[in-house]
This record gives sequence, C-alpha cells and structure tokens, in this order.
Amino acid sequence: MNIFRKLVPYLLPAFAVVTFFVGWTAYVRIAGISEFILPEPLVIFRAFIELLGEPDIWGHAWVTVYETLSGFGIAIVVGVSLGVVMGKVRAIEIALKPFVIATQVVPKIALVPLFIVWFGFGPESKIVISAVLSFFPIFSNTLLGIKSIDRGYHEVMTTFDAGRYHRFTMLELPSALPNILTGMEIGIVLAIIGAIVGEFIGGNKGLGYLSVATMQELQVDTLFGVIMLLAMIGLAMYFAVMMLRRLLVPWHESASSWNG
Amino acid sequence: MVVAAAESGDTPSGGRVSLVSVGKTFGHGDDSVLAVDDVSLNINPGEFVVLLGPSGCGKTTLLRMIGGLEQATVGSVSISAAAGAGGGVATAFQDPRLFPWLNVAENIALPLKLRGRPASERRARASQLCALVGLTGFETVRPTTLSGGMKQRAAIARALSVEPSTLLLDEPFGALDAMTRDQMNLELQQIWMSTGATVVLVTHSITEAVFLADRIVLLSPRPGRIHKTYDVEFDRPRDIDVQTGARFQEIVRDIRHELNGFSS
Repeated sequence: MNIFRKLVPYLLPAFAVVTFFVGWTAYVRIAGISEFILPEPLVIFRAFIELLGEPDIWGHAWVTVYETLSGFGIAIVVGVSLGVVMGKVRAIEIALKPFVIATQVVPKIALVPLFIVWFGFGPESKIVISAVLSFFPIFSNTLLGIKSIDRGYHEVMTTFDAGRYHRFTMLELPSALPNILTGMEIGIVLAIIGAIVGEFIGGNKGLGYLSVATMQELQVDTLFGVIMLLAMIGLAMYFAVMMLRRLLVPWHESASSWNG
Repeated sequence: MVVAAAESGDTPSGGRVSLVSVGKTFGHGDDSVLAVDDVSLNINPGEFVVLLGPSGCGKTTLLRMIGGLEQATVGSVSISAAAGAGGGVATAFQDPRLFPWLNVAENIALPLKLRGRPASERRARASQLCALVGLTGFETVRPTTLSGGMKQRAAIARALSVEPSTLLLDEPFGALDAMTRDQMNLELQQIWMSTGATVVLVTHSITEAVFLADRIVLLSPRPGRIHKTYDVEFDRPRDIDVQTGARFQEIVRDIRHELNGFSS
C-alpha cells in the first residue's frame, strides 16, 4: 500500500502517456487516416530508429546544433554587454531606447529572408538569425537585473571604497546572474527556432532543411522522426542551461525551487 | 563570548570626528525638506557616542554624512585618525546587507578583497573576526541560513575587517528581539573596548543608548538639532545589572521626559 502510494506520481503520468499513444493508434486505425497525413506512433518510432541509422543524419544534426550554439553564444555576449552598459549608463539607455523598442516590435522572423540575402545560404545566415532571435530576452533580463540591484548593496560597496571593476565583478554581475540565466533559458529555445527557420528557407544542410525535404517527398513518418530528434536536441540544450543555474547561482531561490 | 583570543595585536586607535554647523536639505525649492540643522559636535578618539531621537529626526542622515554616503548641504564634516590607525570609517547598517552569493567568511572579508589583500590574509582575518563576534563554525555557511542576530554579527564583523578607526552603526539591532538585543549590546561593548575604535551608534532605544554610551546626543524632531547631551559615566565593562541601578533609571527617565516633550 505504502509502496503503491509512492509510485503514484510516476504511474499516473506513465498511464496518461500510454493512453495517449493507444488512443492515437486507435484513432488512426478506426478513422482510416492516411499514412501520408498522420502515421501510427509505432510507425513513427520505427522511422525514427531508421533515421538515426542513416549516415548523414548526424551531419545535419551537427549543423543545426552548431548554428544554434554559435548564434546563442553571440546573443549572450552582445545581450549581456549591452544590458550591462545600458543598465549602468542612463544616457546610453535613453539614447538607445528607440532601437530597443524597434527590435522588440518588429516581427524578427520577417527579417529571415533579408539575412539570407545578406549572409548567404551557408550557416552564417542561420547563426545571425539565431543570435537576433535569442538576443532580446537575454538583453532585457540583463538590463532588468542590473537596474534592480539593491541600493543598500551599492552603499556597502561605496562605504568600502570599491572601484568600478570590483563593483561590477563583486556586486553587479553576481546580483544580475539569476536574471541573465532567465534570459538565457528563454533565449536558447528561440536560438533553436532561429536556426530551423533559417534552414527552412535556404541551404541544403541541417534538420530544418531535412524536415522540409522529407515533407516534399511526403515521408511524413520520417518528418516526425526529424521533429523528435529536434525536440530531443532542444530538451538537452534547455536542460543544460537549467543546470547552469544550479551551478552558477546555487544561492538563489530559483536554483532550489526547481526540483528536476 | 571569548574576545581576548580574537584580538589583533595592532590595536588601531580611534578617529576624531568633528561636525561644524552641519545642515542637510533634501530636495529643491518648495519641495525641500530641512532634515538636519546646525549640528556641531566633536567626538573624541575612542569615544562611544549614541545619537538618539524620535523617528524622522535626521539621526540616520547625520550618520550617513559622517560615513560619506550623504553630502552636507552646509557646514563641514571631518574625520581624522592618528598616524598608523587602520581603515578609516566603516558602517554597519540597520539591515545586514550581506551578499547572498558569498558565504559568511567571504562577506566578512569582502572589504579586504576590495583592497586587494591576498586570499590567505582574508581567510585568517575572517576566522579571527568570526571568533570576535561569535560566529566560529559558520564561516562557510550562506548568510540566508543565519538568524537575524547572527546576520548582524557578520555585518559588524565585515565593518571591523578593515580595522576602522571609526565605526558607524545605524540601528544595527533594531530588528532583533529584546533578549538577543541585550546580548548583542554586551558583545558590542566588548568589541568596542577591544578595538579602541570610535563608535557612533544611532538608535531609538533609550536603554540601549544609556547602557552603551559615553555620551548621548539627543536630537530634536525635524529638523534635527542637538537638543541635549548626556555624559554617561558608569564603569566599563558594564554588565546588564547596571540597567536596574538608580542613576541609570534616572537618566532614562529624564530622556523619556524630553522625548515626550517633543510630541506634545
């Protein structure tokens, strides 16, 4: 009885997942849905395993991962730097405000064709798209973090004659880090989207390209396989950023409230 | 609490604080508020001075001007320390203001890090100060897990890390319960006696003021002016029983009488 009660939190979701797939299978069979529209879960799983066995799939996956991480890296460097500078220097914040609002309201996906024109069909254009998409949450959260530092902490630094460098490394950066990580958690998801959307439009490499290619060949089961692979890559990257929070800000409430 | 073990060899002497016709106005024009008006005060090296007054009387503002966190609108504030004395002025605030990303020892040694002292020196000094304020064994603990009293001890230890010639305390025990507060007052007296620093303490507790002070400066409500000063001449170290003595009660009664006079 006691053991059963302990297992309930695991059994219940497992039961829900099994029911979902059984229901899916039953629906496809009873309603006679075409395999080109919605294959059965087992068919998709088989296609996924086959996909993993193909030699060039890992090349495609690597390209997407490379583009995503490069774009994300650029977004971190630029977003954090700009967030810090704007958070500290009021004049720069006021001067750059129109640009910030502009980058926020323009649907950035609409810029994708432009970036392809500017940066070509290679990975460079996808890296730029990734960076542009993931920049904003990282930047705005850094700005928020820098601006919301307790005034009392600044006074402590003042009373002990802290220089600009120490004020940044000993107070501003650690204090803003939880916010920066929040921005990165949102940013990594957008970085993946950026790379995939870029691959949709131009080039002949990457999982985004592969999904469009399989769609055009009506290999819907393989398409689902690509989607599954993308989901796993996304999950792994998101998880890595989450772990970064535990590693970098173990002192912050946000690191302990997450029980993964 | 064991003090003797933690004392450092080179005891710094206290700073001399002098305020000449100091005034502070906040805001401009019609919205301006005169917070402190014409305060002149000389604090001798090693003296324990308490600034006492009703809330909003500008006592914290006065302390912040001594600590350099506010600039006086008129008058002059100067602090001089004897040659060879330590790190000038250090402040402990009403809230402990410990950095949550640093452990207790790192918080205490933060001012030394800001001055570029090597890690070995910082570690040694932090454990020395932990012993002084009764935090031995808590060096590697995060401040968020400490009780209110322990946080304030750490904050005071941080202020002491630079061996200040003048220690400014802004109602450091205001948020503590009465029992902890009595204990902290005893310990503060010990720390002050062992360091030889000049201490300026802001409080609104009359008994705390009379128990700790060499001299009490009673401020009038806004704008803060020096209303009256009291020399308190009990022997050191004072124990908690001094509070039940007739002379102690007499001073407390007199101050309370003066404070009641403000509100009527």
